[in-house]
Amino acid sequence: MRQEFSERVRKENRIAFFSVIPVFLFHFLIVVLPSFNTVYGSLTNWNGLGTKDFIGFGNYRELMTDPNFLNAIGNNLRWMAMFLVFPILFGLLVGYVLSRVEKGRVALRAMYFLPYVISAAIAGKIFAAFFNPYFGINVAFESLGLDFLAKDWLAPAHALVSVAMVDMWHWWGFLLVIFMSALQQIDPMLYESAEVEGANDIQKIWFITLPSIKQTLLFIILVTMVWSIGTFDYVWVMTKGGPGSEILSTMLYKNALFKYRAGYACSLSVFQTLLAFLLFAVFGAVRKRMED
Amino acid sequence: MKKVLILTLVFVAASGFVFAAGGGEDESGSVIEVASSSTAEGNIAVQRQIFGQLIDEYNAANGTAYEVKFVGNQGMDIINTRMSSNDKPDVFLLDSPADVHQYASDGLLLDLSAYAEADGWKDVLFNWAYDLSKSDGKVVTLPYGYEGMVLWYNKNIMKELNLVPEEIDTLAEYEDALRKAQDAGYIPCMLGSQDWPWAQEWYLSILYSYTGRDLVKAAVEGKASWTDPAFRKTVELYKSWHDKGYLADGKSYVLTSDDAINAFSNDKALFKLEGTWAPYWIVPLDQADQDKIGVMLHPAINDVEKPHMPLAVGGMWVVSADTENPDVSAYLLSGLLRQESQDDYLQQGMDIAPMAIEASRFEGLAPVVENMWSIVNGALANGSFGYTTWAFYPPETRVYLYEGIVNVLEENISIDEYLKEMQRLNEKELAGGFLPVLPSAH
Repeated sequence: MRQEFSERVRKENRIAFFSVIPVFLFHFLIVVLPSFNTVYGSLTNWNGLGTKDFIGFGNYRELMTDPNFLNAIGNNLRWMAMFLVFPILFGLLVGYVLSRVEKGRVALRAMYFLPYVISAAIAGKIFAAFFNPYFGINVAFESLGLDFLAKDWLAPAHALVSVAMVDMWHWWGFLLVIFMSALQQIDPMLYESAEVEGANDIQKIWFITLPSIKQTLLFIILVTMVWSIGTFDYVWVMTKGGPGSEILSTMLYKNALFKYRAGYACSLSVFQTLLAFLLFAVFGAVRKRMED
Repeated sequence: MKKVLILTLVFVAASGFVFAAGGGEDESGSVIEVASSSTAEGNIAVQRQIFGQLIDEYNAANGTAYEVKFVGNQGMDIINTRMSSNDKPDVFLLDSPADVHQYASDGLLLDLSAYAEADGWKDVLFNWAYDLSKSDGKVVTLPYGYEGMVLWYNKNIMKELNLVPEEIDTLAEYEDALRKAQDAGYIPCMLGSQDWPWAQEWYLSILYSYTGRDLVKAAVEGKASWTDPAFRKTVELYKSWHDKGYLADGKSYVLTSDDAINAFSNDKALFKLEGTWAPYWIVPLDQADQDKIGVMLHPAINDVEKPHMPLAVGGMWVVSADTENPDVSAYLLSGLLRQESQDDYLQQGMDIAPMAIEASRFEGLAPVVENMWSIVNGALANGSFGYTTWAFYPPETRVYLYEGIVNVLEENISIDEYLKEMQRLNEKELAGGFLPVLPSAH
């Protein structure tokens, strides 16, 4: 019996191994190998075309004193802060309400999810038109007497927040679906028991909902932090990372492809990766501590 | 059986992953890929047709069976990526002489000297253009599609404001026109860089060039400084226009390039600043809308320089050093210098070859386009050209030039800080091996 069991485990392991191999190979060839090249590139003065001359840590030293780099990190952190609050909170609250709706839940969920399937290039262009000072949302604000809201939304002072709002509009529906899946796993008996005990809605959310979806929530927080470091599409489409909205990825792109500074861009890329790893590690430690 | 099935599925999946990108047709040898940065469909169609005709001629004369695969939308970001990989096009377009020099110094371009000599490029091209075709003494590029910055105006608004374009030559006259337009409720000068940050450098190309062409050349070459008081005064002037709302109501970096075109073509702006490529959107307009558009050189801003046209080449055709078909690739480039090829470009509103074009070729064009070429050719004949930023400035300095100016306009940094940073970047790029290639403007 025991021998039969271990034979079966071995067989399942083999199947699992062979199933993973193609993806592993693909990942190794497309991601891991080029990553080594990027790390080496970051130690050179490569212009993106010709030979790579080794310059040690020169690019990293320059990074530490580059005001654009410090500004870009600041913008990435602001971006992350916005994404850690608004879409998660909104997705969670609407998910909680929707999970209690009996009729039309699927239709509503599909509607909220819809922005997620629209490409960044299209949504970015459409919202850039909405932000037009002559015929966009400013006209609507002014006609409603809300003149104080009629601003140059894509000017440097507001550009980052404006673009983030668009990306959050695209992103929150995805979070909603994830949260709803998690919420539907919660045993309704828990809520019924709480009601019998006289718990109000806030207490139910705090003592039942949040602990029950803790793993999902932690995963979303982690993903949000890591993706905030590498975000690119909406910013590039809407502002090209111009003044006020320069982030690490747009800075990397410009250095690699417009300034002939691919080596410097590689060092930015390595920094982004290390930052993501650092966040991952810190988050893992915090989570472990919470679970303990 | 189950095991075999699973392994088969795994193998199929692995094959799909690994070979997904490698399933293209074998195009080596007989297909010449021509890559252009053109994005407008009409421009792509014209180029595809011209290269198609040239390859047909070549095949007929040589008994070969080459095909041209023409690909548009291949901007510098894409070309840079492709040229650092094994997916190099045979013939492609670079943005500027600065890009050509970068590529040539990395050995990525075919030496075209023998072809240029055989086909007489030196006799056909303008002298300045032929000079730009060389890097390290060898011909490595065909500068193509010369372009320059000009000022477009609305004739109806001019008339309404009792302004005469020919009498707007000086800074005082220009500012007077801007003020009158603003007072009458028009946008004085339209410019939109929100989706096209490079639009800021259109105006700066003019203003810096007007500050003093010798000074610009010396600054780029490291013999003068961007912190020179003359540049400071020029940036102050630009900022004052922004602050007064003369430039797109002070929203030039919030409006898009389409906003700028729409406002101008819908009689909301007196002037629109754009280069000689503007016919791409002027030619498709209704005749009545075309007729209300006029073109002029930007007025002078000081006593140092008279009105002139900051000049650029619209693109630099080059051949990859790795091409398997150098002869036919070079043949395609030489073919672009034929007089009859210019007809198609002119009709489409595209830039033409930097060479003397027969006067009859300009007949029958939209009057505003014909007038534009008359101004451009007149400026060239007088040697009256300056330097556009995108053709001649070091790349990092150039990017800072148009991004940093927005911070100046927003008062996030001072003019002195802006110019100091430009100087720092220019010095750094020269020290890093950037070789300036500016033709003498005199």
